[in-house]
Amino acid sequence: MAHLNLQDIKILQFFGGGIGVFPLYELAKNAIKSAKVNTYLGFRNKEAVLLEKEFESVSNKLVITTDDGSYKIHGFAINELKNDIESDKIDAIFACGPLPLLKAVQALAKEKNIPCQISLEERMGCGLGVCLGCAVEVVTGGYEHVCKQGPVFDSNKVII
Amino acid sequence: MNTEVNFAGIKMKNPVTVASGTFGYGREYSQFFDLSRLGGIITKGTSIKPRDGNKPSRICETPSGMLNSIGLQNPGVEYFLQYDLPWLKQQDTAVIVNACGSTIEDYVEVCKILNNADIDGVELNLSCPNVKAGCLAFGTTYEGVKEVTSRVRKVLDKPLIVKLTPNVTDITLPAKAAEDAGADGVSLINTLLGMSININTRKPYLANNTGGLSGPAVRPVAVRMVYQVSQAINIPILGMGGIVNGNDAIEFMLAGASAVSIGAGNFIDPYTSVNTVKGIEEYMIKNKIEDINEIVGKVEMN
Repeated sequence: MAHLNLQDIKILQFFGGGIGVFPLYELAKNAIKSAKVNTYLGFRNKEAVLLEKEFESVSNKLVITTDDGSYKIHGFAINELKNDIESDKIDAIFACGPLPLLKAVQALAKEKNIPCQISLEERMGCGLGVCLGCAVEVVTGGYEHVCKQGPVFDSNKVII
Repeated sequence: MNTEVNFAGIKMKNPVTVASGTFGYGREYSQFFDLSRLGGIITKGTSIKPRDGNKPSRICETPSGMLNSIGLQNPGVEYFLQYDLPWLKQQDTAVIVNACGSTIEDYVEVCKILNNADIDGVELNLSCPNVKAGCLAFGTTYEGVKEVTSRVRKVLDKPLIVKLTPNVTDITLPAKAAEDAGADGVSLINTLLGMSININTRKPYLANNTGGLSGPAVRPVAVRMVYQVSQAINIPILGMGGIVNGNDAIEFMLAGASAVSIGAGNFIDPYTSVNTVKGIEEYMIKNKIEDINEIVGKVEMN
């Protein structure tokens, strides 16, 4: 896939849930050098919150939500992003997390016409592109594979 | 010490091949080792037209094994001949193409094309459990196997191996059908039909609900079936089912297999196939076996 050039982007949204926040942190560390970074992280509860301090140091804005309200904002991070997206002019969105979260981000990016990359997960047999187990349906028909063509896909390209 | 075998008319430097669907067309594994160290490569199941395969999820891990329901995703025989075969032919190993189809005509057409290709043999996939039309339907009865194999035999002069499904009451019947229809060898076992359920979502893990079980979990079933088939037919057997090292390969050969295939084992460790070659050689040295062909069918039953 054609990867977005971070140098050309002014404002980025990072959107992660649960264990999906780890790959986003590495990306945010690089992005903050040249762009404004807004980060939205969702967790199940207070105990599940990860990398808060680390993300603070690489984000211009950090929003944390918990499903049960035991820490910071009560609710889903996607709703906070929806509120802010009207006021902030966003150039690109990067998301990693559970499937419902990715679906919501994909729909939002499409609606607002914002370039968006999502990192997908699928159970793998070989991790080499041989067994064709980790298939993801693409809009052009047929399948690509998370291990070889992914795991990061243009959100407009895949059917999840 | 001789490890060379002649399996169903296919000359191989050792009895170790890699099973269809677990090795693609070879390129990905060539970054790990020289493919010439293998006796042969059995390609991904290849059909007359490209196939997209089944909806995901397609695989899931199970105790000592895995379930798969890939659905024979492949780029079609013409693409294979143009882009993969020329490269594969340079690897100095036997090339056996696994041919699949949904109708008898599909099998005949793909084998007509393969008959003119520079390959060493064809493995006829009559036993994929994940494709609704064809495959398993042909593979479960004596009549079905005999009909497809006979039709293919008429258009194929190259060595013909028929891959058998274990999802039958008596595997010697389809084996006998393959022999009666003029096949040069049989390969077994394909995967065992299975199902695994996610208790939280109450849905099967595989989108196709059921899939084929492979890996060490199936090995004793496979060894038993290889032994049974070896008692019932006179054409050679390519044995497979959960082989992950040389000792496993020897077990299949003692049961009656003239050569073996590594399948799911390739996913556990990309070097499983070449390590199996080494393991066989070590067994031969330790047991002072001059020729690997000596041990075929030499199990001593109680």
